[in-house]
Amino acid sequence: MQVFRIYFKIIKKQLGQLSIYIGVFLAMAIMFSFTSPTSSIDDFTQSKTRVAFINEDENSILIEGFKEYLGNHSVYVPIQNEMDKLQDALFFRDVDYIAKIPMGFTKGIIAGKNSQIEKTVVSGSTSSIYTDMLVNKYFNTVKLYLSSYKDITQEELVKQVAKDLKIETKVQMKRTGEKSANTGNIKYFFNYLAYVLISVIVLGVSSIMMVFNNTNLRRRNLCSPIKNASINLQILLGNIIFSTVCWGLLIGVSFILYRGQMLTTNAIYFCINSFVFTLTALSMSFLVGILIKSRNAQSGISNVLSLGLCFLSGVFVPQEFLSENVLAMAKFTPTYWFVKANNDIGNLSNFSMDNLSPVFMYMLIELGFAVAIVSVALVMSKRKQLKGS
Amino acid sequence: MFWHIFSNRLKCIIRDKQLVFWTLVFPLILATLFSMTLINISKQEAFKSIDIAVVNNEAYQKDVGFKNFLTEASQGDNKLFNINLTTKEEAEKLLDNGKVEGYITVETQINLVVKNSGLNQTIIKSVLDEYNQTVSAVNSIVTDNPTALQNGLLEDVGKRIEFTKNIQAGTKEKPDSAVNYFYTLIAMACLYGSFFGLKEITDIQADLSKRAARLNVAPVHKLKVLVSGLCAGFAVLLLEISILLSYLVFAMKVDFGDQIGYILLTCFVGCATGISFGAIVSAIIKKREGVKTAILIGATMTACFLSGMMYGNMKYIVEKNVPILAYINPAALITDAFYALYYYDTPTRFFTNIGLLSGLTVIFCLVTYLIIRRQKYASI
Repeated sequence: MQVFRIYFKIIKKQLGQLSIYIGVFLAMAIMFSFTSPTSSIDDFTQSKTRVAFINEDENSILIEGFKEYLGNHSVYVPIQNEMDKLQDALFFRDVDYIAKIPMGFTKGIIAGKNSQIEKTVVSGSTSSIYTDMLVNKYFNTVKLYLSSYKDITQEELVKQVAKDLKIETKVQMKRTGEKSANTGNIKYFFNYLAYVLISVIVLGVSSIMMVFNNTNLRRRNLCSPIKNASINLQILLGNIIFSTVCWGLLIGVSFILYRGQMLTTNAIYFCINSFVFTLTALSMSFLVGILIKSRNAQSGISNVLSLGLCFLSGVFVPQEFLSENVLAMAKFTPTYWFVKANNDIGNLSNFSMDNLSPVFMYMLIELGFAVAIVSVALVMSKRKQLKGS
Repeated sequence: MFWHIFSNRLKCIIRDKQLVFWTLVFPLILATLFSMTLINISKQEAFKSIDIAVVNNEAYQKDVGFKNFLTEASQGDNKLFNINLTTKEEAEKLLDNGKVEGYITVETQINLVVKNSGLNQTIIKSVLDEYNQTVSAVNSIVTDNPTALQNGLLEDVGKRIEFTKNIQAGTKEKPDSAVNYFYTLIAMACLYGSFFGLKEITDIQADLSKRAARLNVAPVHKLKVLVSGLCAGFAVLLLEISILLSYLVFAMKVDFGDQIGYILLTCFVGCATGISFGAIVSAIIKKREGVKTAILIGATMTACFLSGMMYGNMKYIVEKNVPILAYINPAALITDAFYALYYYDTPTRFFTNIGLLSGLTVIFCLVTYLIIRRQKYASI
């Protein structure tokens, strides 16, 4: 097992660099999965838009009433009434709707004039249309009362309007079976794992492969009384152990981060799927290790490979946001199927064979990619050997 | 002499394949990936008429008021709904297959059935609420004051007035927040220019490389060597950034606004900042080149992360909570300069950014010069 031992000596030397990578990627993965949206889908909850409410009019009862009503359907974001602050907030969608009540608005409404709230929105966005709806609803109801009761006080008006606008339609949530699985965050974590696994395994494995593929070293090794097949087998064993340890480490982290969510049946399938993908990543790094000659090329290739695959196949940007063309292209990458399997697993609540079979299908495709890539790599390495280089 | 050193340095840089890859090819690849994946994001928030199904039963046909109300909501250019009149079974099926966001049944009251929560579903509910609420308002008015009906109450109900007026902020009606990602990309490419600075210092400090040791023996003023080297780096970087910029503008159709002069000025200053940043890091830190490269990559990535390259809103979060960080982060300043050109109709913010960037550049250059000048070595 000399080769095997040497393998881990090399790894040991590179441990510093590799652990920096693992550390950075983990930090990013954690942040990434915490910033991702979580949605509970068991009860109907009304979406709320983010509104900046600026009142330049007097603090009238009418405006207070309106503010309370709008506040029930949206989230108020406190922002200073300065043009650039508001503009920034709108650009980064910290607010969806800036509602500015102009001077004399209350008086105008009471007098029956067509006073208007000044809104600043991303034109045509769904959230702005919804908020418009709320505003118009409130003041149209106000107008209705005003035109029927000439001498109504503001208190009375606000009370009446609030009473009417309290009426709500009954909404029924259609259940598609049992309670759905609560796997919001870990799904994103496992998707992101694709990036970490590719980067770390490609860097680690290819740097070792580069050592063994060094022409002079290789020639010398071939002279030794160890069979070539044995050498290759030992390297392969080392590769598999290295990748498995990386995978185990990341799974360990996921257990620390998401204890509750990891003790579900879904999590078991997440783990299986990520292990299958680890094998695919290993096959990629095997190929990379054969193709590249210098350390400089190594970081370039590993970056382009990991970023490219992850961008295209929905690791960074969820698949539902990608355009059809990109998805069509992504189908030729293993990451696409990895993410697809994860998304399916995340939605599973009933683990019947019927529901699971597409997931297994996707895993098989990942393995298929692995086999194909390894075959290419073997052909390449044979050809290299025959050429004597 | 200047041109002699300049042209030789130019050759040195262009032949460094790794350098050209990271400063030109890599940003181009990232730009392609960004635009392929981000192109749909900003389209997501635009409102599209919501597909709904209405169960066509007797109760619905009888409820003329509601029928008219729904018909009105599904007509015109800005219609809210695409209505599919159908049976209950069919509506269920449409909902299951995701063809509609929800379906409405009229029984003793109006019901809405949906599969999940979301803004579209909330809008459907809100519209139905509106109908019920108006009915309630009319009822309470009429019970209290029966004459209201003769005074045109129902006509008032029919006349919905618009109570909002659009006031546009900045230059864009629909500011696209995805452009920020591309701006940070240029910032990244500019800061990767720090590798040029690193290379120049390495090749001029006698204790860092053999080439520098040889160069130091030559009877040329060190400042001259340094300046011509940095100029060569700057020229290459500027060319690369221009290629990236034109790729973004012409091939990827990223919106940069239309103040071309100022856009180029930002690139110009950004390149200078990037190179001088590399120079100062290289001069201050007396370690191996690998360590310096790692520090530069780490610093560039952190700076880009804080200006929103990985998560767009990061820039805003930083500006809101730790504004000082936004003022000293060169990537944020470059990004913000482009942002100001894209979205602001006043130039103050743009010039603040350019001013701060130039300030940083001058400081970097001065410190570098003070460190590397007049160094002599008894033995290397």
